[in-house]
Amino acid sequence: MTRRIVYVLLIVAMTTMLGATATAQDDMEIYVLGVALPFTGSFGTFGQDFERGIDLAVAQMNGELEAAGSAIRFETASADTEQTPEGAARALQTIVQTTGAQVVVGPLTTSEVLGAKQFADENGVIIVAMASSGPAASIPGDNIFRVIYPPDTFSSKAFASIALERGHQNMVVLYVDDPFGNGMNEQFIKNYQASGGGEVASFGYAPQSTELSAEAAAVSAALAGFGEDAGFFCVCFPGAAEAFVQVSQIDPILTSVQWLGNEAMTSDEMLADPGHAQTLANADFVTVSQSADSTPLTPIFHADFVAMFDKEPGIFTNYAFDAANIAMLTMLAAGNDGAAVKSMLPFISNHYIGTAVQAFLDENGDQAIASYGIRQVAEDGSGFVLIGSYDGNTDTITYK
Amino acid sequence: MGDNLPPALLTTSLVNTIQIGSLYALMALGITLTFSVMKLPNFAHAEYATAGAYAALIVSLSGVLNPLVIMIAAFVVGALSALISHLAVFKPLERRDVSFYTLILASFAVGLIIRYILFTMADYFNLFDLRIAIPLRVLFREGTLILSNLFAWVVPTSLVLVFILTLLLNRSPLGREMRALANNVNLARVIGIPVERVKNYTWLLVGGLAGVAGALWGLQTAVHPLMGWGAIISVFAAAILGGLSSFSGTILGAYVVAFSENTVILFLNVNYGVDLAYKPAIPFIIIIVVLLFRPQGLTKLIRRAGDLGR
Amino acid sequence: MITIRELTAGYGKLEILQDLSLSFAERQFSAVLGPNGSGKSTLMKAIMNLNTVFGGSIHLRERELIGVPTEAISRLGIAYVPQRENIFDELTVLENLQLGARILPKHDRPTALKELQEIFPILGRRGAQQAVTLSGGEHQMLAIAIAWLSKPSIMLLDEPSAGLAPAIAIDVFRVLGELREQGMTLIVVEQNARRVLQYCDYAFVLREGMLVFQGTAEECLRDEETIKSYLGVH
Repeated sequence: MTRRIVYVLLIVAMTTMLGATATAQDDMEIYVLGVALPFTGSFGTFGQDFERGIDLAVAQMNGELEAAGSAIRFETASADTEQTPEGAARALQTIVQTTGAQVVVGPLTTSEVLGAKQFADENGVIIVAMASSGPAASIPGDNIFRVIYPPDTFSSKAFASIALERGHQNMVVLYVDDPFGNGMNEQFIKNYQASGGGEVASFGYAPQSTELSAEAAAVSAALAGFGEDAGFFCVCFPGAAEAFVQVSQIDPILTSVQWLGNEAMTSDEMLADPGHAQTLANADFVTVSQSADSTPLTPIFHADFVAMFDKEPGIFTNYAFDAANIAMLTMLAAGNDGAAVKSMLPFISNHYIGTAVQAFLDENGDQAIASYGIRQVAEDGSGFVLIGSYDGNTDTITYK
Repeated sequence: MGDNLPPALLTTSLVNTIQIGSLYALMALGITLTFSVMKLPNFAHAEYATAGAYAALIVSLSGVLNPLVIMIAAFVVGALSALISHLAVFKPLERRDVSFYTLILASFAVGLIIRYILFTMADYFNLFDLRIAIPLRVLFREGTLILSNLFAWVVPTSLVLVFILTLLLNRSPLGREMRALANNVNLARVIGIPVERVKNYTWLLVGGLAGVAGALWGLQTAVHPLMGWGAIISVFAAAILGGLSSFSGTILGAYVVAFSENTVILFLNVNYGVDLAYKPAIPFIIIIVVLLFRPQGLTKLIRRAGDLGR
Repeated sequence: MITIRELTAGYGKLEILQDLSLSFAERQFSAVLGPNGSGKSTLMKAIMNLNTVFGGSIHLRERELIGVPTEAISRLGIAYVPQRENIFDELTVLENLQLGARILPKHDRPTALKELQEIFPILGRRGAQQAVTLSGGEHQMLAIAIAWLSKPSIMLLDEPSAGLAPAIAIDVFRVLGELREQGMTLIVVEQNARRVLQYCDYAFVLREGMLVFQGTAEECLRDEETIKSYLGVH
């Protein structure tokens, strides 16, 4: 509560200062870019890192605008989503009501995006999310755009195909019980069974849980029930992922089957622990994640980020940078107006070369170019090795 | 109960119950002690555990792998954070004779402040979701029973600390004075017990135990600024089962909560398809049921002379 | 020994004692009498710094007591036995006694506990028992014993015979008489005037926060009017 009040006061203070700048230089036109991200909660680090990516994009854009003699400048106004749907709605409301922003970059997860959706739709505010991938938010015609990062309808197919290729007759899934995890679980079951897979036993865990002993015991028992051919698919958030592997490493069943899992399982923290790394190596752990193919922008972003913040950009920070650029370019073309931005954003997006992939939107306003890398943990657990790729648009796996 | 669980699942869940229950007990005893002696249900308690876990993590990352050194570091940091929160916040508030509810809210605020100090620190040094560098391995295996070195660490450490605490409380002059404060603070003042000094020692003890519990919890899961906060409701449920006043009730409560979160939920899952995602609801249900039907907790059932008075 | 001047004291914002001045003499058994609400207990608590003092002074010999923390007062040789909640009922009898003796130097404690057996023989047999299980008389004896163990020069007692059967109340006063014989200064608040007047040396009568009478026990007993109008007939 206190923190929220501080945020509101900060925003009010910022806007007051903003107003002062605007009157001092009345030839300037200020466009406010809202930023709604989780600055607190277990994704707080993501939020803070993402905000740096956005700040970099804004600083570069303002530099270019000034050099070109434009009267337009961008300013950001940020609020904390607290990593909850309600928090995301409040954050959006705070930003819009205190600054009149028409376009907001963020929030992070699908549950936050869905939490903010109603306010955005009702108030003509455009949301440009950079990492939400849950199929639940794939809705045509609404005010939500999910750029750069494709929905899990694609990656779940890749996971299902790999499971079948590996000869898993049955599967056990552990998923985070939120729109992202639910969507991944449902899509995975659908795709797996449609292509000839057998039974799937799924266990949801509560998003706030970080102690997963009971869950590991349940997964282990289900795997034992299925027998040798079964495989395991883990859809976890960071933190829970480490906690799950921690308790799994002494489980005789979990350490004898093959694992698939989402990107949270591949964090640096995971491999920093030799026991965890070994567990994943023994499980022939494979993940499917958006391809880190480079574009001409990739090294430029990296160098600029390090120059500005004197630290390495975190994972996906470049997506926030891309989302901010798409939002700002659209505002420059369409003006500071929600309806116009909504109409024009797909066109701009489809002509934007991202820092990781070409942006391109489908009819739901979601990223439509889905090119994934398939990575397996190295035998000694030292890192992840790219073993192949998955083209979501043609549904084909190619191994190196 | 549990007849329908497959044997492997039953054994594993019972081992987990003992392991997690011991950790809950270590944290919950501190809450009971704070409530008895200071009359404060301290929601910042979880943060002393988190602070202790970070101390343990940092010591282990610096290359010191002696578990004793790690635990002492956790104790010291937990103890200091508890003492500082008392001296900086709770004591001045008590001086002003604020209401019980103000103190509860203040404890939430203290928790929030410590949590975000840890967040800032973790962000700056990139210390999220790391583990205290003590590798996990199987120590004992017989049929479906598997015990890890973590189990061998957590359970005896908790039991020994609980034993030492009970001994200290029941046999030492300081413990006697703490119980006197818990029982009748006015009389304690009248007969010349240095109330503030005893309170300071109590805070150090409570925070230190929480710190050690946090370090052990960091072995069980991963170290994160929210780790203590994530466990606080379970821990409070254990303390409330103990009526917030009984040591033995609190210890029993800790195992009851851990049993519900491990064995009972699996039983419900296997037999009635109850989703494991309901696990976090269990401590809430326990708290509500206890407060509705048995607000004195398990105390009266197993009352002993060494228990703390209200 | 304790001199009180123009004391105004009470609880929170409520003033109960009004400009009260009196002094308790050394090595005397003084009784403070008066009906309910006359401010007797307030006076005890003001001496112990357990309530709010609005003005005036309280001196122990030359020393000002107002502002001295309650915890420090026992070290000045004043012990106080409250009317209620005057023992640690969750602790054992022995632990209660140990707490009472805690301000003595370590080497004096065993002797003090031994001497105690002679004055309060009943407590010796109850050492391991939880204090809450004591009978009313034993309870009161324990409360007095806790205070006695700090070897005070002055003992304040708030209604030590309240709620006790007459025979047991007499026992309590007999013990107080013994303490006075040993040279202790006693200040006892009582409602049961007739009984305490048989044991005490000097009496003060309070009404509505003011001193309305003082004199020796005999004078007090002789003054029919005082007894009737202020103390009720017992």
